[in-house]
Amino acid sequence: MIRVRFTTFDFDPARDEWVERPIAELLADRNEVTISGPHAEWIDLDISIVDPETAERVARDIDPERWARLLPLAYRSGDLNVEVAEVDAAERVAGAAFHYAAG
Amino acid sequence: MRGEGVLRRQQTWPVKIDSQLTAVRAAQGDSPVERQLLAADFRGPPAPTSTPGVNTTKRLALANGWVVFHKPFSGVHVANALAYGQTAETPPLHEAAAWRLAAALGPPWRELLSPCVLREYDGEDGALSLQAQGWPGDPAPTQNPTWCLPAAFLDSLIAQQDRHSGNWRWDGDRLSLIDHGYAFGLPGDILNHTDLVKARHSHRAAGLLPEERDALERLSADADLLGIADILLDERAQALLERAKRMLARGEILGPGEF
Repeated sequence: MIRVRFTTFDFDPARDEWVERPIAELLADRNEVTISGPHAEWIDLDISIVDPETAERVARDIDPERWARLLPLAYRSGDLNVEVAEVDAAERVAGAAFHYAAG
Repeated sequence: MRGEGVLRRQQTWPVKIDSQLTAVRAAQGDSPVERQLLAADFRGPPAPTSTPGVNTTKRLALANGWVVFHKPFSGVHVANALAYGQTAETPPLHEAAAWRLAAALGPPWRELLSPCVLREYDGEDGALSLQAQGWPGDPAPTQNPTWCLPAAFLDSLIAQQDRHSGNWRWDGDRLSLIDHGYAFGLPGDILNHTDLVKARHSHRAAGLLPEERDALERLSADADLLGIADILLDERAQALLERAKRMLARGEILGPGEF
């Protein structure tokens, strides 16, 4: 299963430091994609992503796990951190989430 | 065929890069916001990043309180750039070029983009862009003619190859377009998304507005393309001019992927 965490940072001038803010967490497990988090709606699940190895456009509903691995390439501006990890199903956290099935 | 094109561009690139950077530097600094971007001190270290290898863009604070993003030339994801028909150098350069074109065209396009300059940070040259206000992922601008029309015009003109809702910010009132690394595409280059151009066509609003026709006439009548010709590779500048002429001849913005 692929886990993608989206976070951002705000600058706190009083403390002169960056403060991390969670945005969303996406899980891609074979044919299903689940997304949750305080700003899950900020992540557009219909974005296709160009795979740099093949120059193919990869869509979520074609291959959810491959698409999830490529998500950092869809957010290049630097204001969203996109962290991808391969995790066991046991690490999946229960909670409110939207579910999307492939195909 | 496609590989030959990429190779040809890589071979021609080093010949002009120095003059392209010089052209950007000569043009920037003509507005208060650009002067601040060029001169304000950086405040503290960059925000931590958990996305190494994807253009390694750094989020930084300036002493004046602004948050900015530094996209260094050394941090470009080269394989991804090549997949788009770009080169190892074009993403930061095209950030600056898109802003320079929008600034030269004036309102409403100037207000759509975050100001951007070329500036060094931590010994690395790169594009420094002001943070855009708002959030990603909101389709509202595609339904709002005040923002969709000029944004689609600009994306069509600059051959933006990857405009989706992750590459714009919407704050409920205002649209900001971000990430122009994969713009100034050439005929045959890949198109990933052009959601605002598609939206304008779907609303049957592709026809040029008077201010758009005026902007295209100003651009195409200027031998230096309002200062952009010296910033782009010759073939990309030529493609920009040809798109402007095609739009004028047809009286509408171009179709998706028509570079």
